[in-house]
Amino acid sequence: MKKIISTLIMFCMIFSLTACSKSSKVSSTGEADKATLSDVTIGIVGYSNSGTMYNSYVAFYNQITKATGIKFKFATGSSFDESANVTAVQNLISSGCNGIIMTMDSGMTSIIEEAESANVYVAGYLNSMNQSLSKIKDNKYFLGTVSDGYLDGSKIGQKAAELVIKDNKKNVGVITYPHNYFPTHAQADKGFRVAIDAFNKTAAEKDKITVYDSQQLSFKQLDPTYFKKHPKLDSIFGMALTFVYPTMVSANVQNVKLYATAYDDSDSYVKGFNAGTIGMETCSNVESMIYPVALIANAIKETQFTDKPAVAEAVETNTVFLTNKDEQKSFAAGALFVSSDAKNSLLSDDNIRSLIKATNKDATYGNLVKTMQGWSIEDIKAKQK
Amino acid sequence: MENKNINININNNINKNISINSIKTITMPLVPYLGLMLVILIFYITTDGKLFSPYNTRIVVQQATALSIICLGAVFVYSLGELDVSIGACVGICTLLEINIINMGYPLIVGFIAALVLALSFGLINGAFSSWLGLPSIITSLFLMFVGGGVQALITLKSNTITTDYDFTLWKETWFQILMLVIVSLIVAYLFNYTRVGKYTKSIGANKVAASQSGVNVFKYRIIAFLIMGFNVALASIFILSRSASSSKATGGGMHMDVMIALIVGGMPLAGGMKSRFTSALLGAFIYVILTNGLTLSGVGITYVPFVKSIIFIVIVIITGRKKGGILPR
Repeated sequence: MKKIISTLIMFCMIFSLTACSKSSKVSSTGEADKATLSDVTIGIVGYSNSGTMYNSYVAFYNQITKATGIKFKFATGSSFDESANVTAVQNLISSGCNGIIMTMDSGMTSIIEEAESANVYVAGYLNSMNQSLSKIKDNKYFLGTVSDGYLDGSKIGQKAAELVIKDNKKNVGVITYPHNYFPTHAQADKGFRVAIDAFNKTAAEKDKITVYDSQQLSFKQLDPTYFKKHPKLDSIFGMALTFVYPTMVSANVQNVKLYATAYDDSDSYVKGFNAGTIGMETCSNVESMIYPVALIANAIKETQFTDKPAVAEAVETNTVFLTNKDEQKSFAAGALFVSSDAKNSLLSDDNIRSLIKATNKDATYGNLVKTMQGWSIEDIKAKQK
Repeated sequence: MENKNINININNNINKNISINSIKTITMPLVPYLGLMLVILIFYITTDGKLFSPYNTRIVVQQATALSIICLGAVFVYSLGELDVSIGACVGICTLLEINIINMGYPLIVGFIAALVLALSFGLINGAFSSWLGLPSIITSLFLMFVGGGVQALITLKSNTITTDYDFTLWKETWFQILMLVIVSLIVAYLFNYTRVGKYTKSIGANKVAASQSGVNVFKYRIIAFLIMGFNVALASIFILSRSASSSKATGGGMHMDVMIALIVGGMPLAGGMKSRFTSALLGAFIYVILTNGLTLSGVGITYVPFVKSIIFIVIVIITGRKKGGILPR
């Protein structure tokens, strides 16, 4: 009897969930005459299927769907498991996607081969694809990628160095993710040290800044003994915000200022900004996803930008720096990344259509990249007025 | 008169129980087949026929081949009533070994032989040490899982992923994958059903003491079972490598759970024994792959996929599970 009931429950579960699933697809709700790309379905292989980042993507994709009719599907991939990424891409292609956006650089060579066999176009987001770009950039099915912020991490290091110098810090620790997995962290580390060395050359002896050896975290929390090892530490340039700040809080470290990359809107981090414990956070704009979307849509409709480079490239988008509590507050209130509200999008529906050549014959690649690289915290503040 | 009525009632109950048991004996082995047919039918409907599109058929076969081959080897281990959680780590190191050897300019066969030696070593350690020390194999395999994971991390310390330009075209051809699957299935079917290896592993799983006292060399056949699985792991690692032409510290991660779920879904009793069937491997692997594939094609939101899979898994376990302590043989 128990097994019969189980079987019936299974039937009900499968039918109801799969029936309900049809309605969970993102569908076009925009005006019919402006939704000309309804035959474009883009699959996105992302890091997670929940959380702030995911919600912000969904909000932006819903806006794109409304503006253009492009549909989106999601799958979860892995930074390290190539087979999982290949499987995710294959399933998305099989489900009807004619374009794929990859957010991780793992298994890309096989993914491009798969895409080629299925006549599907691939572009990247949040990733500079530095491991695979040289092998796939000449393939016509790989269209290009946009990184998470600056391509050259040294600019972030330079900015952090400016703040450390401005705040008169003297003993700085550097904490990063493993450099072989995150080359931009290695660049930022180097850029930071070069900037500090340049300052030290002209600074008085008492003003010179000491930078400790880098500590690379293998995606684990910073050990509290770090602070005992460096008793004179007064600041950290930490490229792993969520692996450093919680340790500072739990160890009750109050005399160290954190200049971090990445962004977190939870209360603890907001308090840190307000208290002056956090001196820098960074974020790239969700709206830069328009880059791979435009390239894929154009390729599918066979109307690619005339000024697009012949060989696919990695481009950067602007990095938003939050260096005080006012900027942090403005970002929290106005950024699409935080609110997941399309009203906060830096691109209107008309902007979106104007950037895609398939919906605007005058759209150019140069303008797309320039738009993406021009956003700053000032634009986010302006949205609030 | 009362005694006669009681006897009649007892006889009726016994006859009823015998009938129910007979029906169960006949129908239980069919449940995995029915499960596969049901999964295919449901997803054929919900995917508007995309399940059988040429592209989807190709990718299902590709995704299921490596898992099926490993499961076919694992059938021997599971029929002993044992578990092996080092499968994933073994697959990972095998692929790293193969890719490094290929990148040094040696042919794939050399890489395979090296991977085979490694995988057989894993099997030997699992089988031998668990027997000598009188431990469940899950303990020794846990040790190997951690060791293997550490070795993977060390090999990939300097670069996230190791890639190769080796041409794996043949290994990605659907006909070749099906051919290899058929060959491995036939060999496993023969070994499992018509040789002492299969019969003795099942009898050890049913009752180790009885098997030992019947003259079965329990130690020897436990090791043979793990060695067979090791061979299949090495073979499957080439198919896994061919899919992405790369290997990293995460390659093979979680594979032991995939194998366990596939075998259970395919009707393999976790406790092993005489009711073990090699067909559990093929049925379970394909059900597992089609489930994930079908849910994505059906448009089930990715948030719901793990939930749906877990519900289906639990229901299948309830349907096919047997009470412990039942009458032998299991």
